[in-house]
Amino acid sequence: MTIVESDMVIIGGGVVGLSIAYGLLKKGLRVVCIDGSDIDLRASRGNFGLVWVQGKGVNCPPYASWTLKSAKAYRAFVDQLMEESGLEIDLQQNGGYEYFLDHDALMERSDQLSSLKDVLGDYPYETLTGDEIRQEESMVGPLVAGATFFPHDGHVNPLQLLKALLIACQKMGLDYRANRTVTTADYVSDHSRIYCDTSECFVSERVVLSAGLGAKKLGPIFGFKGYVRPQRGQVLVTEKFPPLLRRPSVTIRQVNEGAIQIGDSKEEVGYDDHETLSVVARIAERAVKIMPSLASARLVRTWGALRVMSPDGLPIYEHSTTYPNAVLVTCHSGISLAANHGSIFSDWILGADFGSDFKEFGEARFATASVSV
Amino acid sequence: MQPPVLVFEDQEFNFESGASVAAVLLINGVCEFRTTQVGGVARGPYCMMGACFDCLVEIDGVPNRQACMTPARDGMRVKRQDHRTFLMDLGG
Amino acid sequence: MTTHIGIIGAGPAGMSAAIRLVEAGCRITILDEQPSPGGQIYRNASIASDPLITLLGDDYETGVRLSRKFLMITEHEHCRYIPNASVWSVNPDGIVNWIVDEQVDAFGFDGLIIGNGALERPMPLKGWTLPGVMTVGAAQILLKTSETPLRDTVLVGAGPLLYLVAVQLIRSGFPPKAIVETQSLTDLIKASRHLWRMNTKTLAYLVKGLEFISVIKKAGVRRYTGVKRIEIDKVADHLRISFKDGSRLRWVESEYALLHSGVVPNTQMTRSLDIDHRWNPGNQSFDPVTNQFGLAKSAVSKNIWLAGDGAKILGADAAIISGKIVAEDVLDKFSFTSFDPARRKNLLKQKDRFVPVRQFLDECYRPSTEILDPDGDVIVCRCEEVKAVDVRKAIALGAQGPNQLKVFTRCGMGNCQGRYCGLTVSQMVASARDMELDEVGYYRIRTPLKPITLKELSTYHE
Repeated sequence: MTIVESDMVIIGGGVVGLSIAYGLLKKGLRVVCIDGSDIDLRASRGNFGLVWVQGKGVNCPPYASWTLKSAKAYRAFVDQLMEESGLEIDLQQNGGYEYFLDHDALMERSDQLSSLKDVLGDYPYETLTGDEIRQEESMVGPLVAGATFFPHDGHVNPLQLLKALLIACQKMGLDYRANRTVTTADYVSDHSRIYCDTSECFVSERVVLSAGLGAKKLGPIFGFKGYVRPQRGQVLVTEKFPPLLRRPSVTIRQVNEGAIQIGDSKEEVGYDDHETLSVVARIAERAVKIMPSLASARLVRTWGALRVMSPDGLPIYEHSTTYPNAVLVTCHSGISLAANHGSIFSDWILGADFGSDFKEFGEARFATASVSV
Repeated sequence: MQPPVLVFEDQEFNFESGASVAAVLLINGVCEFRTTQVGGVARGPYCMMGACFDCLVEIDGVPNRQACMTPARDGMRVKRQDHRTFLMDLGG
Repeated sequence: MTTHIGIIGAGPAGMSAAIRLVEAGCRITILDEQPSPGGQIYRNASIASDPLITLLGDDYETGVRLSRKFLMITEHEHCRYIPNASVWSVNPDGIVNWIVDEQVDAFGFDGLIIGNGALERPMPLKGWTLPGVMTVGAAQILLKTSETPLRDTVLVGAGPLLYLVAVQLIRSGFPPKAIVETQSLTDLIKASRHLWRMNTKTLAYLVKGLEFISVIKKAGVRRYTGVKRIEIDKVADHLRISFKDGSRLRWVESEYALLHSGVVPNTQMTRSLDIDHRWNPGNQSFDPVTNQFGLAKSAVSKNIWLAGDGAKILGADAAIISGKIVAEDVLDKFSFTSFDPARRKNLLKQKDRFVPVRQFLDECYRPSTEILDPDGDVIVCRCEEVKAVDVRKAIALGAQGPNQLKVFTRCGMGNCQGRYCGLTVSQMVASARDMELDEVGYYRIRTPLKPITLKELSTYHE
């Protein structure tokens, strides 16, 4: 049995786990990160790279506000990360759109955003007519009824972000151990002891569980409900093009290397991350409706990935009530929230009180009745 | 009956019916078909069987066509594919 | 409703399976990417001129006869042959999706035979991406489809295909400048232990090999063996191939460099179907797993068979037999009265006779460690231009396997979707982390298997 000692063990080395590690390492903590294998389900590898505020938290203003905060801090966060890791991270953050083919749906969304603005004040969204959006984006076709716009939205290369986080963390002394599976844990003599399938025992004062879908199985070990479920999204990737899209949208964006990525779907199919023709074909059809000249774009790859979804779609931030100093962190917007997770969030992990708004993200909200996972 | 002609950049190449675009170019001494996006370096055909995607050219205005998998046709207009123009400049 | 069997690939395996199935009264649809049958090894065989057939040799002539017989059975009402068809997706539930002339189409199958052949092993050496550097197979394809030999060539690598192509070029009047080979005398000596299981197949093969080598010698083509540190550079308007021959540094210059270091099963389709694969240390490739009759091992698909070099590299003659074995097994599975168990057993014995020669060739012409585990500025991923040094850095950073590595480097994300870097990447990870290849695994392969436009895709309906 090898004993590995630290101040903090983070279970899960995706963008959430590594962002959190980054913030904690900056505070001088000794951090160990336990990560899974090459073929484990990893939402960090299968996401759309959006730094996105609009449309989030329409029923939960604190979530909208938390996301906006991260978006505003994003540029500085990425700049610092680039400097520390020595790696390029492509971030474009000069606004994003959501396109609507149906006028009523556009109005409904516009109303939702307007309500958020009423509550938050600082929520600078805009609604554009079909003609206005066509002026902005030459690829948008005549079937589009309009779009909503949010100036702080954008996109980042999520793979570069992940790699940069890992490099920066390792430079700060992160002990990163992959290919491990946590089997059990206990808390003895003021210390957490986490056991793995490699006969290592990770001893620390504190634990963060940020293992995505792994929270379902591992959560109960630390006294969490771990109400997460997989929700599949499928994405299409085209060949590379010259710059065609000025800004990203929720379902169509052009990545820095030139390929156009097109999503998405929201499917409840369990742990199946296969791509399916029927869904992919409908995504293609919708994309061509929005941008007719995409009809001749060739698809190079499609993939499916599993979002980490809580019952209400909001993050779960919870301090365990039974296992001391253990925190559960799970969300489906690990990219957008990275700036927060990598900075101010450390305070909350270490025990700071972020107020009643933040309690909305706790597991207590699942105490009542029908929670479907 | 005129033999079929393929136009490559500003040159005209005769060919035998059934030849692929890649074959016509190679036979006429052309082995640089495109330049790459990342390095801006020249590439030509490698496998000649549709698997490597290195023989990409622009055919009749359509980019990213595999020359080795496209039969040459009379009057076809083929151009080298320059990927440097495809590099996106991410502004703020 | 009559049983419908799909066949992907009209190479030696696909053609011979088709012939048997149609003769037995089975309804088939056979798709192939090329305009005429033959696969790569018998490319263009049905329309090749007589002088070309003579130049290419007896084995090609076998392909000519097979292709012609195949085309005859395609006239049968139970046989639908679709050339120029690009298969972009196979659904394990029983549908094959393809495109011809920008039109998408699909068929349902009760059983599917995949005979999609092999690819040349990637040969990452310095300069392998330069224009003018191609595979030996590419030069053969040019010869077979346009009757045009490349006139100024150097052949590089290891394997009997080098000798065959050298002889074909000699016969065409344009002998290669040199053959630069990586296998050494020691390799030959070690490999010769497989020869004690000599059978007529092995003997015939060796005799042919020696004949070729004799022709090459008589034509004055210089052979360098046991070479190391091969590098290709562009010099003026041609290529310089330099290498270490013992302690001496040598080079040869020519317009084209033709590379070959064996062939490996093309596993894009089998991987996309979640068929199991196992590392074949002899051939240094991942081979799909099948039972002895070619039925693929998969948790999802129970009715897919694999035939020919796409299942296991044993050569064209063995592929023809493999197609027959698979066809016989299909007849058994679907209860055709013409199924002949004795015939199937006999065919299996015939196919096994190719194994000793293959073991000999595997060991004699083992790919050089330099191409299996490249370093420095050598390009590993051609499509995304990723260098070996960056792959090694990503492994050191913590990439556990090829899929993490893809995330960190973009290897495998380009147009070819890993066909020419997958094996290299898996082997580099295995070497750096001291892992078995089966432990390391391979890229996750997804549809589309070949590019398809959004418009074509959107016409798909269940």
